Amino acid sequence: MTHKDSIVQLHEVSKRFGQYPAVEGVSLEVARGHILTVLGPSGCGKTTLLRLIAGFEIPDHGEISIEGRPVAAPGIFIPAETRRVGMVFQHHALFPHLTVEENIEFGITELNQMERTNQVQHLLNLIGLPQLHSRYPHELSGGQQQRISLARALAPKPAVVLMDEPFSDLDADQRLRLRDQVRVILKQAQTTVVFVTHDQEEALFMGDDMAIMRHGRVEQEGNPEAVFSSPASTFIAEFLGQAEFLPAIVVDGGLSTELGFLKQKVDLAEGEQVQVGFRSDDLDFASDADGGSMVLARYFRGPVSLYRIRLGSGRLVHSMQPHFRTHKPGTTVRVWFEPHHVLPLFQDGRAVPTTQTVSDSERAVSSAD
Amino acid sequence: MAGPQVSTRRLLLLYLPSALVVLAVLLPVAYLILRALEADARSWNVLLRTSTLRILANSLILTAAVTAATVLLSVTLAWLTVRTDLPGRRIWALLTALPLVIPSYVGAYLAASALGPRGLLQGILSPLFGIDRLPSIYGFPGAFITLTLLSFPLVMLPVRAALQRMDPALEDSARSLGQGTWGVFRKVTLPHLRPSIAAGALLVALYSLRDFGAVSIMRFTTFTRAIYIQYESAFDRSSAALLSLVLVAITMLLLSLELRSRRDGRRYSSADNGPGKHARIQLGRWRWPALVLCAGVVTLALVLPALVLAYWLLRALQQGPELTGTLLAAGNSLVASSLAAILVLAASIPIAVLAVRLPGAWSRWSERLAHVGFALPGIVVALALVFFGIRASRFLYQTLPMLLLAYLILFLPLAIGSLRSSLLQVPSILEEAGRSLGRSPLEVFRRVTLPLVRPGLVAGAALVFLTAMKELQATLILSPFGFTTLATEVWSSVSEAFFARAAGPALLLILVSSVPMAYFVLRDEPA
Repeated sequence: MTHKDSIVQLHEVSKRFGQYPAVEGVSLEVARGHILTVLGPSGCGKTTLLRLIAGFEIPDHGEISIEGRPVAAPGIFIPAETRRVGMVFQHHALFPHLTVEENIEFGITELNQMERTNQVQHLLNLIGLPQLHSRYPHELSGGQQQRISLARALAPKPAVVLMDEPFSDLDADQRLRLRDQVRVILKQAQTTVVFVTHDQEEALFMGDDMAIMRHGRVEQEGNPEAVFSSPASTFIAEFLGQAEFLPAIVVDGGLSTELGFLKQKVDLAEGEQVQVGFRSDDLDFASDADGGSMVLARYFRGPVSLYRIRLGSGRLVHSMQPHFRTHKPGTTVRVWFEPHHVLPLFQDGRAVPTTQTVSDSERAVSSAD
Repeated sequence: MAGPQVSTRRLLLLYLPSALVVLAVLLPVAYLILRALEADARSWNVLLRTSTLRILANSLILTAAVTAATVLLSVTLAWLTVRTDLPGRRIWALLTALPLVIPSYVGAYLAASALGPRGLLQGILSPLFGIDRLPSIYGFPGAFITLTLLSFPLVMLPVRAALQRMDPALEDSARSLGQGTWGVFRKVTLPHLRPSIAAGALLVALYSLRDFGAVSIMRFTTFTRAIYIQYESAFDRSSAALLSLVLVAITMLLLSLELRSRRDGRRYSSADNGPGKHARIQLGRWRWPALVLCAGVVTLALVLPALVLAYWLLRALQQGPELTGTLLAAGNSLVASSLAAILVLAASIPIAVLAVRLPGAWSRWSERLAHVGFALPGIVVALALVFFGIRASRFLYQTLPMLLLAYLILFLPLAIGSLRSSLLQVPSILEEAGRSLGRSPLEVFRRVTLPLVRPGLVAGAALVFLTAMKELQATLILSPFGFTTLATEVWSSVSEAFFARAAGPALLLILVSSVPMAYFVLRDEPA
């Protein structure tokens, strides 16, 4: 991201509601034409962040600029209607008393009637719903409503479009289809976007850049693949990939764990304690009367089965196996690491820097279900 | 923290108007305090007389009896017309809501003229059975019957609405757990209805406590009547004010009870997916007593009054009606009530918008204070305005604006309530969407909010109009000289026992009020 070409800039922005800090010291930049996804569990402050950018909330501290113009800073507050931000809401927020055409036209202030009609038609074509001018919002499907809502937000040619969980009201099928379409539309229109979601898959898919929030702070930002492969904290590893953790001690040439020796280059002194992060496809097991672990349950998921296993220490871990290998609950087994990539390590919940980054192709193979 | 532009706009459009409205509404309170402060020993003596204790007892007993009777009647009728296969449910629902249109003084006048010791009934019975005097209906029985029959829709309508909104799964699951019809009603339905019953009962209690027309015609001395007598005959303003204070204290107590029940109400959710389908309960043999009940109520509260009214109307027509007077009064009523509706609605907008959209200390307080009128009987408001009118603004005294100000104080809560609930149904993200599209808050209000709350505005206006048409106490005291309305026409004819002369204006009053009333009932009725 070049500083010069960033459309939205946040510098040390904070917002409290009473005693409750919703956003704390957040600094972010969104580059022109980029989609920044802001991911986090509910209550992490991501929606407040969006409303601060939109101008519906006033920050307690910090500065927000849009296209280089400060819109919120000490002594400055530009109201929402003059910020040139478009907004797409979770519940579409189309005006129920206006037709599709009137909704899209609502924000176009400068053109004459014919230019407006052309602009509306252009947008309807862009979102792939050229026929719907005179319908009312309640006559549309959820996916159509959300696309009209996007067209309405794009109509005044905003500097940035803010999207607040725009797909969460839709069912799973529609969601997958719509997010493909919307990403294409946004890229075609070369729109700068801040996209808020709690769905990690959606965030990974939609974003050119990604910021993960927790307790009002940005815990990690970067491009989605980098974040996914080197999570900065156990929280992010868990949130992005249903990760599990086991304690380990650094030894010569690798790590000593409950599941035996793990060969991996570690930049830490021997004897240091760390947490190894892994997922269910990084573990393998086999029946072994002296294995010390026991299969507790098997969850059949079609092509694969997920096994819940209690280790000798009492810890619970999960292992994914192809459907043709079956182990009955109650079987005593031995469990070992079978990673095809470097496993991330953590100390006090923060990632330990690794010298080696994971190759994407390898990860793609190992995580394919 | 908000930028200077935003806050000036809000100040001018919301905070300043709301402050003015609150100031107006607080006039009667200021008056009561001033009066109570200058009360001398003699005035206090009036308050502490045993007769005051009797008035207190009268008021409380009447209020309690009417409230209990209306709850019993309303819950039964609501359940029958919503949940069962009672023949003609929708017609009964409409007919049983209509008595609300009849002002209490009209109802009392009709009851008195029909059932009085030498009334119409006696006239019919006398040649047949030689009865030359019926037991007196005046006093408690007359007031109780009149108020109960006229006010029970205030409970029935909210209870019906709650029954319709209730999630059918609740009753269905109780049934699947082995409860019979009665068990389901007692253990599931009734607890669910409690908040609506409480809200309706409060309205009835306030109605009876503040009623002036029926108790005066039935010569049953409650607070409102006593205050009026003090004011009219004794001209003792301080005693009247002290009596008013007691009345206000009782209404405040009732209102605090209602607030608590509203808090309890949050526990009861309604169906998320809109009203579902309830299976109708088969009444079987019980259909007949149910029909008799409905028919009986409708006969007493609607048919008989209509017949009596028709009788007096015929008599009036024979005597040669005073058409011009009645038409003049009708015109005055329409003008005053329409202006009241517009004024009250306009005044309610800043307060409702603040309460719903910009919560904060002032929003909360201005909304609360705006409800003061709810606790003030019309007579107290009227006395207060007379007081300030004579002292402060001689040129306003006994003018139409003065009367409208009284209506504003009295009916503001009606408009706020209606507007507030429709504003709550407009998600604020719609307004935010409008602003993110580059429109100013005022523009967004005009183009998005206003069209969406229009049903609520119309409902509020209709409600204020309807209530202003019927208002008697303030109208009697504050009307400009020679300015008669339908309400005051009925009143003056009846108090001089010219029953026939009251018939025309009474009928007109009922007909005009029926229009907004029908709008309300039919609006809530699923097609």
